[in-house]
Amino acid sequence: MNSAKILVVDDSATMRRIIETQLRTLGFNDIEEAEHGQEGLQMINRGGFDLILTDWNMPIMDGRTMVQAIRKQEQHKDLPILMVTTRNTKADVVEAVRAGISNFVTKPFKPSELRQKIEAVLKKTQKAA
Amino acid sequence: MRDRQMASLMDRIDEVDSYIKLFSSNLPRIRDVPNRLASAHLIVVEECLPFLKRLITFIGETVPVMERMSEVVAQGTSDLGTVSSNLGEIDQTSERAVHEILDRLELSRQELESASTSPDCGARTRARIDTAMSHLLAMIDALQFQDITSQRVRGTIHLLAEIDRRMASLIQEEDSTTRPLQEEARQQSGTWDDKAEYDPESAACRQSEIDDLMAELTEEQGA
Repeated sequence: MNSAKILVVDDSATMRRIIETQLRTLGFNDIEEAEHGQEGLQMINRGGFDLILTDWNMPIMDGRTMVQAIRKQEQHKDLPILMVTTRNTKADVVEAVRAGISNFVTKPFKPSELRQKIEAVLKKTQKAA
Repeated sequence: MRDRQMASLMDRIDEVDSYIKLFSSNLPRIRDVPNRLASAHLIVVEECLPFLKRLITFIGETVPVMERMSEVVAQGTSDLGTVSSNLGEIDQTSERAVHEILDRLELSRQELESASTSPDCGARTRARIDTAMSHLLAMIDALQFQDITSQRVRGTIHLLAEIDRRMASLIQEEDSTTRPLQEEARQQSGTWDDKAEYDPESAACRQSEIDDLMAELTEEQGA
């Protein structure tokens, strides 16, 4: 079992459930959910998360804007953020990297892909710490 | 006194004389007025009236067509609302069904997990449970189609709203923004990816390209 606390931000209840199921299968049990960037940002600001998985296209506040807002805060500059989205052009990836994501997963994803990316970003954070 | 009156009278005579000269010089034009009026009459009678007649006939033929078009557009916008609402319902039904499937799959996953960790579960059974579990997780993954098709549906509803707006402007509705379809599209705007597609193989290839690009960008940032 992995003790990392994860926040899943996606406006699709289906995607939140699928990601959550995959995370539980990977041994992550401390998982919270937000329906859009603004809610996600509020939860992140309360602190305690080790990893954020966020969609891009969402109402109220999209994922890219949320990532930019997170990175503006010094205490969250190294917080691992995975962008999980249907968007997959080169321009999208560049834009997401500029916003401050740690890695990019395109939908539909395979569990092995998600696992690999999660492990890589968590490992990187642990090294940095 | 008499001299002053004479001088004033002479001035008046000069003034009248200048008017007479002016009148005389314009006399040919004045004489031409009846001719001009006659030719103007000819233009009106021979050219303008037939044109007006043709114009009135054209308007008479066009107005029913325009009225029919207006009726068709009005009916079309009403149909667009129905199509949009049906699409929305299909999306919601699909989401509910997917969640029911997810519930059952999750319960099955828990059952398998529990069976797998049971002390009386042999190695062979455990292996079969693991296989069943991997199939089950693949089924859960496949349900990502619902989010992807939902984004397409939302994109289509937005497109219908745009057509609705244009059709409403054709029939000159005062404020097309108050139409329900417009309202719905405005609320949804930006929350979907209308290029989203459910194609796991293509996504895997794309992911590989994204990984290469990410490596490049990370390297650049590091440097």
